[in-house]
Amino acid sequence: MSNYNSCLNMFKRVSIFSLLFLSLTLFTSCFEVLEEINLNTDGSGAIVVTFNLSKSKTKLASIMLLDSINGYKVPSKNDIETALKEAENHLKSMAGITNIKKTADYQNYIFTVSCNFDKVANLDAVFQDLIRNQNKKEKTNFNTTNFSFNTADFNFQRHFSYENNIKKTFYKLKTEDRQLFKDASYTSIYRFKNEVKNSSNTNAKLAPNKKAVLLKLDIMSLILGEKSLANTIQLSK
Amino acid sequence: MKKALLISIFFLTISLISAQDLGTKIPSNASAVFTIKGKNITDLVSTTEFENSKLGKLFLAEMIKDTGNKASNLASLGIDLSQNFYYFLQTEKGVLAHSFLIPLNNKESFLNLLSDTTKDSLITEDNITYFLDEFDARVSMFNDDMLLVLFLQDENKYDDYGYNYDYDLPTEDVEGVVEEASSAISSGWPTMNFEAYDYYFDDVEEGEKISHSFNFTNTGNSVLFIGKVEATCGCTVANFPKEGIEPGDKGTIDILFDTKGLNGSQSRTINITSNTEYRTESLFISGYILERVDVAVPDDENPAAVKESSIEDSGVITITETSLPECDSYGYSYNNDYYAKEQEEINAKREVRRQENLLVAIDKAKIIMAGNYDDGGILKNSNYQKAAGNGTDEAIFWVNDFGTIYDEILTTMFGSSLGYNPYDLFDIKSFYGGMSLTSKLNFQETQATINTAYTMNDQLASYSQAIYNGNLNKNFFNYFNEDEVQGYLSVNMSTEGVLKAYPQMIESMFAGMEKEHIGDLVAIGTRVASILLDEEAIAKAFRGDMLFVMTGLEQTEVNYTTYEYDENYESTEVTKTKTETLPKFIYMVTSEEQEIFNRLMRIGIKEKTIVFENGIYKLTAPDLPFTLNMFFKGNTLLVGNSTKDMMAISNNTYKAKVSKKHKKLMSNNATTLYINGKLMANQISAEAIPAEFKEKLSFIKDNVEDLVFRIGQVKGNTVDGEMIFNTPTGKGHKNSLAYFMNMIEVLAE
Repeated sequence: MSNYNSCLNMFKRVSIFSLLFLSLTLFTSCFEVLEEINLNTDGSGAIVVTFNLSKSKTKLASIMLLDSINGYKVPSKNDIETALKEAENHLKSMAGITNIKKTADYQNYIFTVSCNFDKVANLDAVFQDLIRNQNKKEKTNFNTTNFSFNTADFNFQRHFSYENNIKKTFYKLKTEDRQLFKDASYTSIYRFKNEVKNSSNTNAKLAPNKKAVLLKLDIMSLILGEKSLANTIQLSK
Repeated sequence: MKKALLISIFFLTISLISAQDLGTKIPSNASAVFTIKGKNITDLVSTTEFENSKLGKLFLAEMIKDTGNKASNLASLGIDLSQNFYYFLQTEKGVLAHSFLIPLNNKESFLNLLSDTTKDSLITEDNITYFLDEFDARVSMFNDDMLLVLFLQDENKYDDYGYNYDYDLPTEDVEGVVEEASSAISSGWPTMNFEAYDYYFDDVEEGEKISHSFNFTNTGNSVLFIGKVEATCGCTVANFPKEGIEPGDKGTIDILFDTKGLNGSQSRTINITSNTEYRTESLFISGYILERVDVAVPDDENPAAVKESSIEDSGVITITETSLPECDSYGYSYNNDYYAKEQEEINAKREVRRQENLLVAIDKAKIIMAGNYDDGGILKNSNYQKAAGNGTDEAIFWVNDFGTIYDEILTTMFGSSLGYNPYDLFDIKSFYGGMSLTSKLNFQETQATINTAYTMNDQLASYSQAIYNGNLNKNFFNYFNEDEVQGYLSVNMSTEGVLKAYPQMIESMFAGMEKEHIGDLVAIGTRVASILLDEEAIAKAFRGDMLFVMTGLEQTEVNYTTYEYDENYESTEVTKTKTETLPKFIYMVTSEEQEIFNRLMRIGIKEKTIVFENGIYKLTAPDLPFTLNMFFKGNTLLVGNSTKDMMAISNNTYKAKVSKKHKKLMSNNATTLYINGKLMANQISAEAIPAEFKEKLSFIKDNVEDLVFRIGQVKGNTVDGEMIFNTPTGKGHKNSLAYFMNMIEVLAE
């Protein structure tokens, strides 16, 4: 068995050798982020956040064979597991959050985190502390409220205000690193029990059954502040 | 007519003298010489061309900064760029002398570059001028024609006490200390002569304190200093002289021994550190301690003793275990003055050595400047002549004899204070002796080359032949298609040769070493190893020759996962495909152990990481970005990631093509690395790279040829290595040196 493994390792080394020549410029890289919320009439619901990197899996598989690339440390499987575990632990510590689940598929590089929430305010609280810390540490000014739902007038809001720091940080990256975001997309889908009367974001699309709103943006337009995730959705009673 | 001839001869002689090559200044015993041929370089790229290039501008900017605006162009340095520049190394008793010879046009320009303080410190003797850097024993000596920078690197250890410390100068007057230290060394050691070295005390009851004075006389020839007095457990050092004790004078060391908590026969040692020849003296104190009669009450002052005692019903304390009390009375006493003095002495010795080295350096420099060698210097050394040749090389590096250099350096690097030199175990001279190296850099019109010849002694040559003169499997050429090869790496070793030669090499390395019969032991060990290893059997599995070929790019279909949304925006995962460009490779190894391979593959199939399909084993590990195809064909194990190519090889339909040039490169060398830069650059798709780089890419595509790096097989006693960087013709590059400068010009934009 050890012979078998050492053979495998030799082949791996050979493949690293060959890959280093070309592959890193050859393989395209892109990813999609998916934010899906199903909201009940009483304001409870479920959220699933998906990071899908499967379109870059050849590149990722090559990168994962390396220790570092372009001066960045390549996270190991363990590092990714730890990060997911931390996210899970954070969710567990929050009030009104239940049914926490995470999945990691290293063949296709798809990672999800999902949970149920009692109130939209509970969901919003998940991010509040994190953002507050970030603002303090990096002197940024991100809005601390992301989601809100007014149960009295059935008004659901996705808050988002552009932060100039994003652009600054982005332009600090090397040109080749910026390419990473070129074909990336961010999709949010909000599904409701009631029909949607109107939604404020002009890029958002309303489902034919009028009970879901989809907003797909390329990440570059988010980074550059050209488009926004912000949306105010008025539901019928 | 005769007069005219005479005059022209006269002028010719004058011009020859004034342009005398600085190589004449190098002594024939130089161990290594590095030459930069100024004229050959300026012929390729003139100083003006260099100064106007991007690289030249960067260089000038640095130079202007470094010289405080004193030098603004190359001419203002006063250096004669059309002559040869030299570096050479001399080794003598562990001292390496590094010399740099720089031809000057005139010394005024060079003088102008010096700082005012340096100018003030200039020393002029006859027709030479020099200044010193005392800290690294560096001499900069010049006349109208040349500048010599010489510095000594002293690998000997002079701190006789085995201490390591910084290169700080003593704070006190250096010369005074130097004098004192030198006189101390010359006049001999102080001696600590004790009236008695041990003291036996009469029986005492536990708890009594014993004091004793050890008297001594300095019967040596210099002042005695005591640095430290240490005593083992229970003893304290009450007093010892902190001042120096002149020869003939007396002194006392007072010891206090507390017997609390002790009983039975006891002995203690007192160690004295001083500046005597042997550095330490030992004194002993011993005697018998009686148990105290009134021991019924526990001793509050010694909680340690209580802990180890148990109170029994009768109320009598029984000591269950006799052990030494905690050693809080463990005694040391330092004499700070002593250590300060010792430090000064060490520094002073270094200073003496440094001054000596500086004098040696000045003497050496003068000899070099004069360059009057009876044997004609290095230029008349036939080894050097043969190695350097008279070609158009731009730079030459020559090492005369590695054996001598290693021997000189390694044996002195480990100072006598350690008393142990690990290299004593090796027979360096016989092993590395007679090894020399010549390396030449040559910028030609359409290629830049580095040629290296490495000559070994007979013994090492025979081992190297066994190891490196393998035979490349001719079958490899059937799986090699030159038209699509981006690069390859061939290795041509003999596993059998390695396994047979290594034990012999190790044996001869230790041969003739008497130290603890290491030679014999090593011989036994290596012979056992060679009996246990079946060289032939191992060589059967892995003959030692292999070829790794990058075979270009291949479009492959890759699946990925994404999402589709129904009309209610419920999402479903869908699998889509896209084409990706993958680099292909084939890896070939000569082996006759197909059986072992098949067994390994069967394990893989059981482990479900390997699939067997059409005679090909396919390995798809989740963390591998592609599928590896493997199979045996004749005596060759083939591994490749292109299923199409591997199928073709398996079905004998692979289109092979190999030119004589590459056959020779692969077969006649121990190892060859070939990179077809042009093909590679042309296969990089412009879409895959950032827009800013596109122009540069097209420049590279137009201006890159191939690169060969090879290490030859051992012929006679010599191995030759070569790196050839081919440059394109008809692209406006005057020569290969100009080519590199043009590349920098474009790529550094």
